[in-house]
Amino acid sequence: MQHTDKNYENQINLINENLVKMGSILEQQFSDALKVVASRDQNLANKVIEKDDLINQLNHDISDLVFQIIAMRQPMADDLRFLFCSIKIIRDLERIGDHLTTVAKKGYRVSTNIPDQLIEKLEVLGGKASVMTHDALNCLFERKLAQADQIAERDDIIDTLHGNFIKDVLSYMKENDDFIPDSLALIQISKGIERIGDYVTNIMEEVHFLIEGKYNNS
Amino acid sequence: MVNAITTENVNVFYGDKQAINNISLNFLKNKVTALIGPSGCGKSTFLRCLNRMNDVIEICRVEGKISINDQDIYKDQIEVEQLREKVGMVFQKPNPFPKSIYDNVAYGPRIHGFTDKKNEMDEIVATALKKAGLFEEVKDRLNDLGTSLSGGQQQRLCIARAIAVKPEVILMDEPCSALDPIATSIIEELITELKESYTIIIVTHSMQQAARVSDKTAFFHLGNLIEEGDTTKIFTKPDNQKTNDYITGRFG
Repeated sequence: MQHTDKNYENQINLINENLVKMGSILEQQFSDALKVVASRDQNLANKVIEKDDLINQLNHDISDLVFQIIAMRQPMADDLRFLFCSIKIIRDLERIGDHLTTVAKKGYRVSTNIPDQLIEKLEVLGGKASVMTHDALNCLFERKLAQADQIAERDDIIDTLHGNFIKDVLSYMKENDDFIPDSLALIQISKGIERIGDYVTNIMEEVHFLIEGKYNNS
Repeated sequence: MVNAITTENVNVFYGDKQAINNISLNFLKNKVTALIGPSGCGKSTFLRCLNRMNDVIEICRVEGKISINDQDIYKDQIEVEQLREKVGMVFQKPNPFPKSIYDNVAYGPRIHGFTDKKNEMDEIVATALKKAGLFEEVKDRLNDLGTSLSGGQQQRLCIARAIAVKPEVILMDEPCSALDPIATSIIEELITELKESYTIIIVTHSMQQAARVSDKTAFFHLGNLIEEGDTTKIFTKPDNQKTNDYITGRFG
């Protein structure tokens, strides 16, 4: 059911639209950042980095709108939960954007002499985190509780893959000390992706709150 | 948790029209319960059943059981005066008697024969005015007309008048709708203080007011009780979609 006050309805819709916009930009950034890791394409890396400004702008726009609605309309019940959840989620989305920027920045500088197996492992890790992010955003917009909890659980897989990858890179570094800076870049990329998994988990916890009015563990 | 008032299967009819459909709702002692819902939902009708204000409406018929301290207020040969000593009421528009401030407060205790000693009555009046947060403002002009006070003061005078007879329950039917925000804040703060001594049931159209002052909230719609529960829950995560839609401004 829509709000009797159409302006209120429009304001709430605008927040939702901006969240969708933020999510779709992030998904594009994610896909591009992983391509950068595989291809070392500097132009594509710059594209990812430039889009971060858009994410930051949307973060501020949504934040301003939520602030205004709270001041002017004293939201209640599902509106209140949605606004509360939005204000927390946009921070996580903005951080995901920052990490993708790091992935792109480090990604195109990695030497092409780094063995393909390492890059491929990073792509597998990135792919999992990217699908997790995509599913999380869908879950946010469709508000499906079971999915929210299930998606959050996938963070363990990301953590394990990241842990294994670090071990692999460390062994490689020991044997190839010419490539220590590149190996460090790989570690930073992997760490960035691992952090994204954490932020997606946070988002799923907020979606749980949005739907249920309480956190999963409370 | 002790109930001050229990109601069971209450039905109210105005002639052929049913205004309340089979409502059972209990009111916890020393808590504030807010009744909310759109106009015509039955919340005021229900409130007025609790001290038999509907008795004076000829076509009005009340069925079911309403008990205060396990005593059925529609049976058990309770006199209305006796009931209203226990259940006071404050209305939407402040309605002091066209009498002095003092006599407004002393009126109830006098007719209930609390005392015929002047100094004791002075004490009763002063205590009630103090509890209503009005004493300091009027102590030097107790003989002025009650109607000479400001709207907010008049409403507090009505609250003092209600509590002077030492009721157990105070019913409030939109007590702040005629008041400005400061007078409203004073009354709301007072409600929170008064619940230490009384059980308060308040009908309000202001969702924010219900959220601010009440411990429990009951949502009425078309004569039905849709949902009742802790106020924090009702305003953050109500169970019923209709409750959600009403309090978020989607209808009503």
